[in-house]
Amino acid sequence: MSIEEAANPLQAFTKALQGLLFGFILVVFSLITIDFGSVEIGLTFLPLIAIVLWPNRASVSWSLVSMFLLGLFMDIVSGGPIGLWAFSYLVINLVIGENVRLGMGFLQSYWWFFVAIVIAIGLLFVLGGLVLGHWPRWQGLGFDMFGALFVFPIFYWLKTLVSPFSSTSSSRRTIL
Amino acid sequence: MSGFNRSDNSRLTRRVVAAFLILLSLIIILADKQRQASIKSGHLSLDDPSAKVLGFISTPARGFGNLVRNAGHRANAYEENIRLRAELARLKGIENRVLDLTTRLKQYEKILAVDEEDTARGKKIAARAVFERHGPFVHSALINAGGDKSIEPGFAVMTVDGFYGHIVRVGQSSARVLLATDLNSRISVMSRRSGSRAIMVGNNTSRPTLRFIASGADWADGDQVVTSGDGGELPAGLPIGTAISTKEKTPKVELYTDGKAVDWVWVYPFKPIAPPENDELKPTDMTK
Repeated sequence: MSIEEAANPLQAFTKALQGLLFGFILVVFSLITIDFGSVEIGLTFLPLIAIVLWPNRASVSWSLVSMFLLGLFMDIVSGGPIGLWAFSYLVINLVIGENVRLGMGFLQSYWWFFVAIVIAIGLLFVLGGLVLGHWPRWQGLGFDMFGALFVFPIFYWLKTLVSPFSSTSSSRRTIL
Repeated sequence: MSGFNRSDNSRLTRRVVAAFLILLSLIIILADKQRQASIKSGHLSLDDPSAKVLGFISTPARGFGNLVRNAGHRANAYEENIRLRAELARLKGIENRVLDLTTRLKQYEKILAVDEEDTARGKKIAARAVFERHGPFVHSALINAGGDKSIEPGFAVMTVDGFYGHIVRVGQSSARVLLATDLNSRISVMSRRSGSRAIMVGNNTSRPTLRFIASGADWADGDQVVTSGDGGELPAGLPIGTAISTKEKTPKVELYTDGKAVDWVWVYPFKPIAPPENDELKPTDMTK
């Protein structure tokens, strides 16, 4: 298994910070709820875009720490149980991390984003049931999934637009 | 290098970091579940800066939303003006009746020597709802006033339309409001028409349900739902919404705040009524 971090440790660390910054921005956007009268569509799963499109050649250890911090930030600003999103982001990264990279095509990214959401929903049901003692409303999560999938192309385009300096090599992100 | 090359070493480091962080997340989840003081204080200390940051970020979005809403209002200004004039004429008559009834009520109270003055309520505290969160588990809002304005957990939060929620956590300059729609929200309510009691239970939808209704209770479609004050946690009479019947037999409440943009809110200070065992007589009272 090849190690695909940047040779320069500072550069690898900076790339992890780039991912964290992008994640923070997405967390802020994820707080938006679009009200259509009887239906409310949230963007809860938006920060998963940052996990799926994490910069190539970022320091793996710092990326893990960044994702943990990103999850904690999400937990705090959303007022939910602390640690829930931190755990979810780490697990999602470990599960799908080897299959995603910024340089891959739109459809592939879209597919892995969908997979990430499905894993997140599964974790929310299991952990939510254990932490709060009741299951989250699946309709709400369904609407949120729809909302996140709807806006994904916009953020994908923005991410690829502002990352011309990121590595475009087809190398895969190596997690462990 | 004692059997390890650089690649093996860094791979091991990654595994250790990943395992440590996952374990740490699980510990945090469990600690938060038990509401340990350290986690709570950490949550509180981060609520204040996030309220400030989100308040700053939400300003342009709020401005844009207001612009769109105001454009709609301006388009309907003429019709709105006619409607408001008619309503003003109608309310003038009602105002006279209210004044008349208030005077009469005071006279009756004087005759019966009833002291109904509600001393438990303090002055309303104005605050701005920085943002509202409708997540998979929590429906809450963050307001930009906290301990610095003497806000305490349990205080009711109102908008111009009606009951919004109650304070669950207070920071120095921010507070978190648990919305009436939240899954954990339980509010003692009554029908203003019949006085029938119920508990309004949040269900993470825009329409909470009315539960624990007595068999002979008189609830009808369109009844105004207000806080009952039972349990002494919230003041009585705060308007919440309108009762509506559903197919599932349990009536629901259409909240007055539903679908309305929430900007400014008012926090209602209220001293909960303590049970006698927790409300000991002071020596001076005993001597009296």
